[in-house]
Amino acid sequence: MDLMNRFVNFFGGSCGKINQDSRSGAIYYVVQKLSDLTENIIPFFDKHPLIGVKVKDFEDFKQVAELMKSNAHLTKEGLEKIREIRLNMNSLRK
Amino acid sequence: MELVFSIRLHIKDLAALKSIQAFFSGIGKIYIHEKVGEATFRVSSVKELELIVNHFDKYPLITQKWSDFMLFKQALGLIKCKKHLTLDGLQEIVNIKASMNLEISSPDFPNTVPVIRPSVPKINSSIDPFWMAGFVAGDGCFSVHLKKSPSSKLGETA
Repeated sequence: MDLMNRFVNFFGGSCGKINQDSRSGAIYYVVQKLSDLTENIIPFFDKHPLIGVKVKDFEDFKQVAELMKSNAHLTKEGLEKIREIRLNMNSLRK
Repeated sequence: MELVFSIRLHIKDLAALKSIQAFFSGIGKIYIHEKVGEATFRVSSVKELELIVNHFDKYPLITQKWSDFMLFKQALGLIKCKKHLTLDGLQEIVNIKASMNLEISSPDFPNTVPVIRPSVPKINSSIDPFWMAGFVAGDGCFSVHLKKSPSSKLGETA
């Protein structure tokens, strides 16, 4: 829990929040706000790259964030593109 | 009795596992478990485990795994001086094991008294950015959620 609070501080103090799953006892640090993602989280991992397959997930994630930043997710085509990217991310990646 | 240090990854990340093995100057072995899609880097010889322990002494862990590491080191110390070959020594190691990871007690050792789990020291220095990148590569997730949105023309939003 202490560590999770340090995560919030690490990313500037007002970025993201900590959620707790009372059933499993797991703690999540979650950042969902688009501006927090594009101004804090994404630049951080551009500067400090991940190693392994997760790099690809990060690149896809970044692409979706950029689409959302330009409001593309409000158009049918944009949303379709995001759906396509999403279907080949993380455990769905072929 | 055997002590094991291991890292298990999805088989897609075999290359990362190989570079970890190279980082530790080629010690241990990598086992590929094709059926379940996993690859495991495993170190179990006492001599090679010393290299692992030296590394984490120099670069301390900062989560609960620090406590597991301290217990692991205690057990390694007992094995190094052959204590595990005596019944008392063996029980001592079982007592350590009982406090490690997700351990549940073994019916084979009814006299087990779990040792006290050392608590992770409080660190005041700020988190190292490369630690953050490594931690997220291991335990983090970048995901895209689509949800129903009645207010949007499309009825759905990202």
